[in-house]
Amino acid sequence: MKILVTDDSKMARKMVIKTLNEDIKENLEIFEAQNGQEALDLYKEISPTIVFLDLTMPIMDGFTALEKIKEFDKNARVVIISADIQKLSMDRVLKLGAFDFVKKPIDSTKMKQIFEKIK
Amino acid sequence: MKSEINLTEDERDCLQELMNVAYGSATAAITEILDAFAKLSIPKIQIINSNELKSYLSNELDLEVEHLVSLQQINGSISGENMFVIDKQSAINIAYKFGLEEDEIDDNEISDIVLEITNILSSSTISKLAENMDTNVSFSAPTIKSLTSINQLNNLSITKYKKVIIISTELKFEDLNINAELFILTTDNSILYIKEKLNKILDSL
Repeated sequence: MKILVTDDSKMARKMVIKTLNEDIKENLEIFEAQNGQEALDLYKEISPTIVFLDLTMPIMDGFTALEKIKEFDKNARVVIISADIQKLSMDRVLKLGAFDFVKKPIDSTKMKQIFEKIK
Repeated sequence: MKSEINLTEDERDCLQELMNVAYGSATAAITEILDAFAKLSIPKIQIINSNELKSYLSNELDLEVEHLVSLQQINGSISGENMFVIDKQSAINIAYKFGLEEDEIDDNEISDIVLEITNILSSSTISKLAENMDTNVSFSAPTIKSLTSINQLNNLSITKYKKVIIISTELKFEDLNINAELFILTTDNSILYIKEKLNKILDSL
């Protein structure tokens, strides 16, 4: 299963990857992107099963990346992981077609729920 | 205490991410009160010599218009000061958003509002940051002053230290024309304490 983890912070990407490795007992192939543009380009190249996407990033933010990924593939599963927990931000990403919204930092219960939802 | 007062790339990234999470939750509290949408920015982290602090702030702030500055002491393992800076028109716009009429808005009302925003935003950001570093901090009551020149900023106790770490981020409500900045200034020993905590977090990943 291909997973794309997108965050401008290396630490934030590592935290997601650590949770994935510890909690998800699947054969995962993990890819990383540092901004929305990289995520969009990689998405087109590898067609991941899930994209984990931060919102506040340079070059292309998560809102735009989500919109563009969904334009490219309306079935894309994009999970937003963000510190921007304003209700309007959550509403906006869900309206844009996000698969789920997760408040940073993600915990193992939430991670397992996401993978249960996919099955 | 003698050690390197600087941050590696990984330490900086880690602190930036912790700040991002802390500020995100504090901003959500403010946006609920104001019933508005804030555009979050990526926090900036800088370490400078404290004698360069005024010129740094002077470059960061547009003091051609009157600003209000609210200062609050932080005490504990992370000690220093937080400084919330808002231009006066933005503060007035917040007052309107709180439902005040034009004839009700005076300097006292504006100061009250800025102090309240400072309390919510700064205290919750720094408390969350401290919590994520597994420590506690306490705060003094914030004080406020009007600022039209950087030389009026003469009561920063932080300038007695050699180095200052500046963590800054913006509060921006584009629709309401409200812009403000939050600076967290910490001292030499705190920088070393923060480094130690950041490395514990990085080692756990």
